[in-house]
Amino acid sequence: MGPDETLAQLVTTSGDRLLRLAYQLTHDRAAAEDVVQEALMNIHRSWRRRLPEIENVEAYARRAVVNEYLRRKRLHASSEIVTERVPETGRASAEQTIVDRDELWRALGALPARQRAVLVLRYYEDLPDHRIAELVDAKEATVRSLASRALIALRSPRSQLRSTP
Amino acid sequence: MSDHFEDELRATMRDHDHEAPAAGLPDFRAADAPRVPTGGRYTWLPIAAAAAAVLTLVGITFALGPGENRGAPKAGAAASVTSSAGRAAGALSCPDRYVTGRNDIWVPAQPVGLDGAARLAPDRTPAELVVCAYLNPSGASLSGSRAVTGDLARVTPTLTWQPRLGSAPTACASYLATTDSDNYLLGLTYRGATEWISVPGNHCAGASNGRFRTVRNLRALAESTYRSGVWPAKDAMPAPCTGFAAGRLGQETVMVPDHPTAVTICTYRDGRRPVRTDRVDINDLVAALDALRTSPSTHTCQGSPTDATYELEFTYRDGPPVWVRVSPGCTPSVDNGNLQASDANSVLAPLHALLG
Repeated sequence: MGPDETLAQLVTTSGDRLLRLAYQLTHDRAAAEDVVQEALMNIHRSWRRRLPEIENVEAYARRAVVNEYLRRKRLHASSEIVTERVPETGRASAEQTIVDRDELWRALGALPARQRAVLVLRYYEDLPDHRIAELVDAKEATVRSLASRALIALRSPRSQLRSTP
Repeated sequence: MSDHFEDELRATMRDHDHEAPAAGLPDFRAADAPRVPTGGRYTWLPIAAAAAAVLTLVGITFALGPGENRGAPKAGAAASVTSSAGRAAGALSCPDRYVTGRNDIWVPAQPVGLDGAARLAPDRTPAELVVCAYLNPSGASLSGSRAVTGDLARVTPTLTWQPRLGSAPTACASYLATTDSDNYLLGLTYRGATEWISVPGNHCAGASNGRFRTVRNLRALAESTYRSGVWPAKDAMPAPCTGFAAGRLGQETVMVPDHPTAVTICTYRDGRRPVRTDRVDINDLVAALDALRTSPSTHTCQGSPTDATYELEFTYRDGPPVWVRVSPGCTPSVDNGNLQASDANSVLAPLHALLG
């Protein structure tokens, strides 16, 4: 199968999945479309340079989506230092503080980009940490640290979340 | 960290899965699916989106096909080709740069010696035509140009009758068009007149001569001409009952303009495959449609179509067809992409007569 057919097939078979991943990362439909579109354009641009080395095109595309999301967050980091509180529920225990999924969704959206990416890849994509490390270009220990900090933030109703990575 | 919390995280993410946008291809398939509403508000696939969808699907292959020679015309083609920026080809010289990132569509110069606001291109044969290509990845630097040879009379019916962009925004699947950063200019020379038509790669953007903007995206046409050096003999249109044409000039003032020669009626009923009916005795139907009280199209209707939904494709001796949706029970019930009418009752009798 040639490169054009391969990429066309990727879009046919995995386009929706890539968009869902992008939406989990961005929490914004338009931004998700932009991220996927740019990721696919990046793949296209680097086709001859990179793709023949790629065994799993879908995994490569997933990585491209994550990288594009993180790249955009880095670009806009200076304008996104506004903080957002994790919703307070007034319940007693940390475990009970976030039981409303809408609140949890909003809290996820307030996490720093890399932390959010790690959680999405771990709990939405069900990827093991070593795979996540490959996708976000980090050491496995860093992934564990990012996940740990994200989970603490989500469970801590009074912690203030910053979107800087 | 408890399993319960992890489960909540997973469930929360899955809860929002349905909010994610869908890839373009399923949307594109909607073009040949019955447009039956699922809720109270029924948004029919906008003409621009459908037309663009067809172009996009084609574009994927074009965009990735020729490898190192991508964007260059085929070897051995008879027409003259330049690859150096700014070199002349034909009477008009291609600009070195194509300006992107604007809300409107950029053209290097306004039409000279002709009424550019009346239509995309004059209803006469150009003396010369040059295609300038500004290809991916930048889409801004001149990649090459080509003086088009052969029968330039072919150009006229395609460009002259393209529909005017309506006032209401049209939705467009802005996804997966790897050719979206390929931009083209068509430089047309007439006796005592010149005109540039800008053809952005962005499949949602349509095309413009600087004074007249059409909803129809012409990238595939420009690309084909640039590669072959010859204007296509026939403007590719979706097969009847499989998609929408962008429409035709004049449909912004009357539902079915000019004098169509035939109609293809696609009847959608109960989610089944459309039933196609072709007729040429169309005077009563055209008269009923043209008598409707109309307003600018909003590309939507409210309610649930009863019985059946009809798509009418009126074809002409020259130029693109007019496409009209008739959805009794959904208001507005009649829409041609530029105009809509609330009530389809007066149209149903001649329509049913044609259906037998």
